[in-house]
Amino acid sequence: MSQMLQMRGVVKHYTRGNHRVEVLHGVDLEARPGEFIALMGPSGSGKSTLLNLIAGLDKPDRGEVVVAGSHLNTLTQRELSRWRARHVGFVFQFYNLLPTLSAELNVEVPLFLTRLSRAQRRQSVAASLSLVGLTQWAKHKPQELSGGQQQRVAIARAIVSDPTILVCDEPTGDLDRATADEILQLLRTISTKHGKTIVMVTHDPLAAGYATRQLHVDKGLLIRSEERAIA
Amino acid sequence: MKSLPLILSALRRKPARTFLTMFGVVIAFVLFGLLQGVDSAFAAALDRMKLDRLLVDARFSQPLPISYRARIQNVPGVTRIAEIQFLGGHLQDEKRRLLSIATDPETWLSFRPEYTVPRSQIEAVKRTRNGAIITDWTAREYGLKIGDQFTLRTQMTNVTGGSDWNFVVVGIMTYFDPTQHLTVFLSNYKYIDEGRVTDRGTANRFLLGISDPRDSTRVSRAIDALFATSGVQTRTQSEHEMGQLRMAAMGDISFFTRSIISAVFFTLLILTANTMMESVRERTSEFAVLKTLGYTDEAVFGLVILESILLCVTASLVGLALAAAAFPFASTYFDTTGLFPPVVVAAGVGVATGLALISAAIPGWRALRLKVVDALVAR
Repeated sequence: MSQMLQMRGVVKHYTRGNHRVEVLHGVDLEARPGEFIALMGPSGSGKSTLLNLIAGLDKPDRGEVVVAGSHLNTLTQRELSRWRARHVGFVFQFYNLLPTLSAELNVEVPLFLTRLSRAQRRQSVAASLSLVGLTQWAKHKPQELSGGQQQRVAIARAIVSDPTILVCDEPTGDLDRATADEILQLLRTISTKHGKTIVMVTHDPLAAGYATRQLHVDKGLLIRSEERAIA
Repeated sequence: MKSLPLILSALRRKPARTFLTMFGVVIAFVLFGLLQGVDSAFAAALDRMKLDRLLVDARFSQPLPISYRARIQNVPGVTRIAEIQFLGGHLQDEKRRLLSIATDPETWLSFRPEYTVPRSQIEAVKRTRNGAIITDWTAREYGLKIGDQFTLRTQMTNVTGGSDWNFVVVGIMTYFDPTQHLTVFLSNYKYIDEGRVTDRGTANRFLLGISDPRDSTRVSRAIDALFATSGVQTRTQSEHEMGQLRMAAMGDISFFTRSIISAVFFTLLILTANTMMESVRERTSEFAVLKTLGYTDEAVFGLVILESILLCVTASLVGLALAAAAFPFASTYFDTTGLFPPVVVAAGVGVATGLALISAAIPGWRALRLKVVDALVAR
């Protein structure tokens, strides 16, 4: 697979009240396997919409979205759900962990959709928690963890089913600088050592600095692309 | 069931709300279990009172001449008959009454399959003039066993000039419902009739069987017509009819129980539906996350439905278990069997499942229709 992600002429509208607003005006985008892309831009520029299309949470009105070899436009809602379960790991700004489940059960949630045995699930969960450095916190509930730890649990949940692409929506937006750096370092490790393609929306130029490519979105268009080698 | 942790997690989210809702369901099902149990026990008792068993009593409180027996037996449709003379009394304690059913025990038992007696003991009572077949409860209560003698102190004078009647235990009969405290025993009609001073050659009642239950009205009328101009007129009715009349005198049990149960469940439906609605509304973002992780709309709908079923069915089983435990005590007030009818448990679980489905239908539908993008933006 030469490209992990291909978007061609993607147009997306939203209806707000009586107005139909075009959010994306024919976006073209490609990403290679293992690339770490930061999507930057002001609020309302269309970067979250772009992220939702890449994650298969929404469909374009025109154009084509191909992720991990699947033409997302052609999939039904049910097929999209199954595709997401197999191919996408999602990291949210506010972690979105289930408050009454322990860290390890939160990480296990995506695996309930698989045919893995309980032992296999537990093994995968342990490996993911180990990768994010939270093995000792496995039995703790989210409210017993710091913001950074909660985001690590969310990352463990995102990678536990070994997805092909990781989609992160402002993953450090709710964290202090030091913790944000730890999380971003972790994402970069996942990208470089485990070959995961990561697409991250961020307002933070320092966060974007961890990515291999920065894409600037404004008024529904990709206006600039900056590539950089990881130090 | 892999997703059980998710369902349990939802119920643990607001423990106080879950507990109170479950408590409401438990109480409702205790009430349901007791009322429906009494209703079913009445129905079962009525069912046991067969249409093909007729009872011939005197129209006015008089003893029936034993000569009626042969005439009744000749009525077309009558297959067998047993005369019955009741003899009440006590053993040691005047307050604890025992009732002797003086009859032909073998015929009487053939009418009452709910009692089990070994064949050899039936033969023994036929051979023993003052033989008695007591219930297993009486045997336990008075410490009696086969071969023991006991004296029933009565108001009926016998040929010795006293009113004590001596019996010897030759058999022990077991009733199908062990919770019942049955204070009756069977004895030979001839022993009582020949031993008494007054009303010899009479009986309190005739118990008879007919070949076709659909014929009960015709046979009853034919018997009553036989004695319409006699000094002692009869009133014949099926055991079933007699049971219905007795229950009608207590009021329409079914109507009352169903009215109360309907009101309780309507209130409960509002309670559980409100709980589910609130619970789902609070977790809008959680459902959006689950969908983002790959849960289909139908899977999320299923989680809401299963959560509601788990809540209602678990609480209903607790309620029904409590009702079953309390039933033997409650049944004594209604003179029904103390056995909790299994059909009530099945009906209860069915009602709880229905309640759960109705309660979760709207919130489940909302969770199913939830658009991930909108829900995530709304956070």
